Amino acid sequence: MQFAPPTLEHGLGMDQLGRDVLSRVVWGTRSSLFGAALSTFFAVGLGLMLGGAAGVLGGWVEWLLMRCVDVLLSFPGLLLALVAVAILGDGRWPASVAIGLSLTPMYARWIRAMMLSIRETLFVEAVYALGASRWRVLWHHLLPNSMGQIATMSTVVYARALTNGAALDFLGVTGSPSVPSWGRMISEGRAFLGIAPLIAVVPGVLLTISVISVMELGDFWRIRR
Amino acid sequence: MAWFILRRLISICLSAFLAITLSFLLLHLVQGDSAEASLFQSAASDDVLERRREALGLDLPVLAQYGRYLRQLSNGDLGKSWFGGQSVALLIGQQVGPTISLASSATVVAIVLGVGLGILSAAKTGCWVSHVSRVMTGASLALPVIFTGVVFVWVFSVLLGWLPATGQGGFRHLILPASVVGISAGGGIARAVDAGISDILRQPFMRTALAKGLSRWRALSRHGFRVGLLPVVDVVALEFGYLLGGTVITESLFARQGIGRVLVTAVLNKDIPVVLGVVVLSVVLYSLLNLFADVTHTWLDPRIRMTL
Repeated sequence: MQFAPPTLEHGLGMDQLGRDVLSRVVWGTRSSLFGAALSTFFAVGLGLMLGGAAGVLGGWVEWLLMRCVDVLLSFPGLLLALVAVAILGDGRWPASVAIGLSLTPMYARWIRAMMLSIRETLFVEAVYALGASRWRVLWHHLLPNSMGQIATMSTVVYARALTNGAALDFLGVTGSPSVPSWGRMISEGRAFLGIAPLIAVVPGVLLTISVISVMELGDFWRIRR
Repeated sequence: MAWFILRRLISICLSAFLAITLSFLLLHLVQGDSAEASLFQSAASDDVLERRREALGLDLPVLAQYGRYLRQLSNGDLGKSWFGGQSVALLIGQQVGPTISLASSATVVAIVLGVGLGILSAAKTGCWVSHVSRVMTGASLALPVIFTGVVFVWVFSVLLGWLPATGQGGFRHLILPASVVGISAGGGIARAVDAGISDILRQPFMRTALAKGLSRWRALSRHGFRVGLLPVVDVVALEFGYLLGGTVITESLFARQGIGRVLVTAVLNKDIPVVLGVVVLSVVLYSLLNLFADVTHTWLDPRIRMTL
């Protein structure tokens, strides 16, 4: 039943091997969204640590960290992710970490910029005057006060992780072809655009909708604050 | 000015050195063994293995290999591919042409689209034209390249049959990939232009120009654009660098030759010298583009020239 048209039983028809496209899309959603979440988690964690350390410690630590961040930022994001895949190896998990790594410099730069602006405020000066340590200031004052911004930035990172993750899947550098993902479905389906366009177009539409929704969520949080 | 360029060149060399060191050490330390494993899978006896390892210099400690690589690099030699054994410089040199032609035509698309949308967004504030062009800017920033690519192929080559979907060739083969990449890069330029022109419109000299009776359009074109489009130089240089990376997907999508294909194949094969070669190339290109943007910027803007 190759390329069977959509029916009630198989909502989006079947692909070149007679597999149900709808169920592959559903499974692809899982791996794409989850993979991007993992990348974001990684980028946010590492970015918070690096950017936070740079912002709080200052001095040569800050200089060195920011130099490294500058160097990494001078690569196009996808190239960085590809090199990271070459370093970490292909496969679902390493690829997610690779994308996370490739998004970390951008995030660390933001975090540091934010820390710098809060560091100069009067209340932080007052806390320091009361004798608080740097780590107390970081945990009790800088981080809680920047939670909103951190969340907003994370949505941008998530949107990029989704796009780049789909791109890596598309390029086929993320391990086993048997696990469906949006990028891989687009890559496989584009050969059959003439016969069964839904195989490639539906995952593409879902990817776009997800990216736009996440960005809108970020905008919503930014405006509400 | 010379001092400024010299300072920038030194900092470029430092960054390039740092990037090359980082990627060399990481690639060799983490992936060295497994790359060797996959490299030698086919080989028969230990004797043959040992000879090949020696030939590639893999029997040396990583730091010694690193020193060797730097020495080679200073002679402009990027080493040899582990698969097939061609010189990496030659491999990249052969493939860089199609990528540059794709990236530059995409840049043209991006500039036309970005500057057009940006000017409309800023100059027509409050009008529906501005709303529409801002929505289009947002779409250009949000749409993933793989999606626009697939939709373009579907609509323009499969349904309408106007343009070829894949392959190398003349101008007709370039239209679809260049538009796909250009559309995704145009959004950033449009944002910069929008911000630049909106800022100019608030300046006192624009108020003067409007007060002496010039129309909004005439005031902008005579006095505004020269200043307001300055940020575009930076963004375009940046975007061109990103385009060289962004062509990775497009080259795959439209089955074109180019650096992107070379990189993806190298990553899949764990062909470390080729991956490193692409890293070196992109660091150098990106830094030079940035320098070019800075110099152009200073040249265009007398205010900056003064402060140097």
